Order: sequence, then C-alpha cells, then structure tokens
Amino acid sequence: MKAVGKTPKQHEFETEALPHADLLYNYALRMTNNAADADDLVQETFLKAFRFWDKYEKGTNIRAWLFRIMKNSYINRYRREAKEPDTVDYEEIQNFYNTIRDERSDTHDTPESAFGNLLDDDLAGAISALPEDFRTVVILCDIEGLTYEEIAEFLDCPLGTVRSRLHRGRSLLRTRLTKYARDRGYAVEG
Amino acid sequence: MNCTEFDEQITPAVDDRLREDEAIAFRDHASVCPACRRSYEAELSTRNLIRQRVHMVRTPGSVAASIVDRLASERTAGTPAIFRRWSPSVYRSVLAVAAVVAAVYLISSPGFSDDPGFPAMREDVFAHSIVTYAGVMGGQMKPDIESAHPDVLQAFFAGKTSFPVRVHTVRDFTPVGAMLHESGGVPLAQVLYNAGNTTVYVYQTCWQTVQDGRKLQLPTRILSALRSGSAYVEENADGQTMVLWTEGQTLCGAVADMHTQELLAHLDVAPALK
Repeated sequence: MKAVGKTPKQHEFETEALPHADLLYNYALRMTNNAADADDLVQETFLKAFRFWDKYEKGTNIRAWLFRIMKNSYINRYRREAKEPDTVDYEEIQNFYNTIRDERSDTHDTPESAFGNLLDDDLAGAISALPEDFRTVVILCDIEGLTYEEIAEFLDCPLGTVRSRLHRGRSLLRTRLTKYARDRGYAVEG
Repeated sequence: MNCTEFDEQITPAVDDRLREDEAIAFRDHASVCPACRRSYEAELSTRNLIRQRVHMVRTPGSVAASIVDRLASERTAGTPAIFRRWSPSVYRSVLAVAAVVAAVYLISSPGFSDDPGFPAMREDVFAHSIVTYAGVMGGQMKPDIESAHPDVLQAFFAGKTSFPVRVHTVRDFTPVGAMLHESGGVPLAQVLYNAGNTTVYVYQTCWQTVQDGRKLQLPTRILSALRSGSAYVEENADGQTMVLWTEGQTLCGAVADMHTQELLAHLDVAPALK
C-alpha cells in the first residue's frame, strides 16, 4: 500500500500556497462579513491560483500574489453585485474625515471605557462599514499584522499611501465606534 | 514640527515606525499641543482596541479540505476534445481512470521496463484495461450498453460469462454503461459509474483464470493478498486508487480518480479489508 499521493504540481502548490490560507481567509471574512462568502472567496482564489500556478514566479512574494488574486475575485464578485464605484471617492472621504476630526478635537476625554462595553459584533460591523480601501489596510495591518512594506507590495502602492489610508481608516473606525457607544447608551464624553 | 506635520506622523508613531530624531520632535510637539496629543492617543487606543478585540481566525478545516479536493479535480481539466466523443460528462474521469490503471500496472509489474513486449502484456488484466480504455477515449470503442439502470446492465451480462458478474452498488454513483471484452479468450466485464465529473470503473473477470496465470496474470504480491481473502488497495502518486477483491469465482477491480479512503467509502468491500 502506498501513502496518499499527489501530482507534483498539486504537491508544490499545497506546500507553498495553502499555508497562507489564514491570511486570505481573514481578509475575506472581514471584507465580506459573512463566513459562507469568505469560504467561497478563499476557495475561488486558490483554484484560480492553482490554474495559473505556472504564471507565478518562484521566489517572489507568494502572499502578495495570492492576495491580488483574491482582491480581483472580490472585486469581480462583490463590487459588481453591489454596483459600487470602482474606487473610493477620496474627496468625499476627505471632507468626512475633516468633519469628524473637528468633532474629535472637541472631545476632551477618549471613550476607551465606553469602547470596552462594545460587542465584538460592533467592532466587526464598524470595520466592515469602512470604505473598501481603508478597510483593506486596517485589516492587513491591525488584524493580520502585516508591515507597511508588505501591504504596499500587496496593493502595489507607495508606503505613503498605506500610511495615509491607515490613518484615515482608524479615524473613521473610531468615529463609528463612538457612535455605536453613544447609540447603546454608554457614556462618551465630548 | 507644526500640527500638520504632527498629524502626518501620528500613524507611523502609533506603529513605532519613527526614526529617533522624528520621535523626539513628535514627542516635543505632543508635550505642548494637547489637541495633537489627543489625536495621537485616539489613534493609538483605536489601534490597540482592534488588536486586542479582533483576532485572526483559523481557516475552517472544511474549507481547507474542500480546496484540496477541488485541486484534485482540477488537474484533469484541459483534456483534448478528442476524448469527448463518448460522453462529455465522464470523459475527464475516464481519462483519469485510464491513467491510474496504467500507473498501477507499472507499479505492479516489475518486469515491465525490462520487457516492453506489448503483446505479452495484453494478457495482464490491468494492461487489458488500458487497451480498452484507450479505445474508449479515442472513440474507437463505446460501451456496449448505456443505461443508468443496474438491472438492465445486469441483464446485459447474463449468460455471457463463465463466472458470476454482479453490477455493484457504488454509493452516491449512478451506473452509466457496461462493456464486455475478451482478453486471451477470457471475458472481462466492465461497468462505469458516474457522479458529477467523477467516474468509478469496475471490472470483473474469472478469478480462477487469473490464479492459473496462463491467460491472465497478476503480480504475485497481489495474488497472495487476494488468496488470503483480503482486498488489495493501491494508490498512485496522482491520488488515484485501485481496489481489487474477490467474490467467489469472480475477481473484481474498482478504479477511480480519488484517494483510497474516499473510494473505499463508495464501495462495499469492507469485509475483505479486515
């Protein structure tokens, strides 16, 4: 009797690509906010990656390669369904950001104690409500623990863009969490 | 450092990415500008809140398993259209089945590489299957009968063989057709079962003839296993599996493009695997 065997391609793919499933799954979960959709997205990503495995340049960043496949799959599947624009309206976001920054400047005490009362679902909801580009960097940096450099490679953008999106993403997130805390009747001074 | 410059440095400061000189300037400004300091503290606490409360989750085992299964089914994609003559729904698996039959034969016959005389190998039950399936895939041979009804296929074999032929139940699979060919004057009864894009190929021949080794042959180690009443299972490097077992006067073989445990789960040969 022989042990379970695979084709060389499958063996190589499973050895090199599948260990990064958690990276993709967590991103998919936070982007779709739905476990079943995340399952589908991860599976679709790996199947596409497997089909194009000969296109992957060995020795390059496989995590970035897989991430880009997933990002494209996500865009094709969800953005079309939602009929969302292809890019974030930065001017609108900037205006919103400036507004909330002004509001925040009036806050004398940070609402950390109120945040502590928030449910995990509130946090997940606040993250999923972020505009896509900001949500992506927050997920990759603050949940998945990637460096700025790796995020820049994933997104094929400058480090400065990563930093500014992260800054704005966290600020938007804080504003939403503050609103949730107020809505739930937790004391938030300001 | 002014407030605008400070604001641009908040995020790298939160993530501890400032150079020492930048960090000193940043702290100096924060010490004299309460509004900027609060902005820094707000982002820091938000970042910490996420890191403390939102955790990475493991990919569900079911997802990982499904990926592996789908990768296995992907590997037969892209088969040339020539193989689609018989049945588009099963050609991929038929191709895979032929591959495993060939692979198992190579594994099972040490003399293969030393004796490439093809006529002699035709007497081997595996080699015969290769020939048969090459013909099926090439369109030169078709199932003698196509039916999803086991009783119809059973009737097809009636009275045509010296050994009992049974149309087995393959769990979750539906029969699609049957063939009867001869190898060295000994009939080889074959039944195909299909589920989605996967095919299970079951063949049966005369067990006594195989043991005699004059018209049909099996490697000694397989014969020994079968004579002891055990089923013989072999999986090749491509994850394709063959199971051989005996039922009275009949030698049965099942081949499929699936791993051992998966194929066994579809077959009712558990008693012979003890």
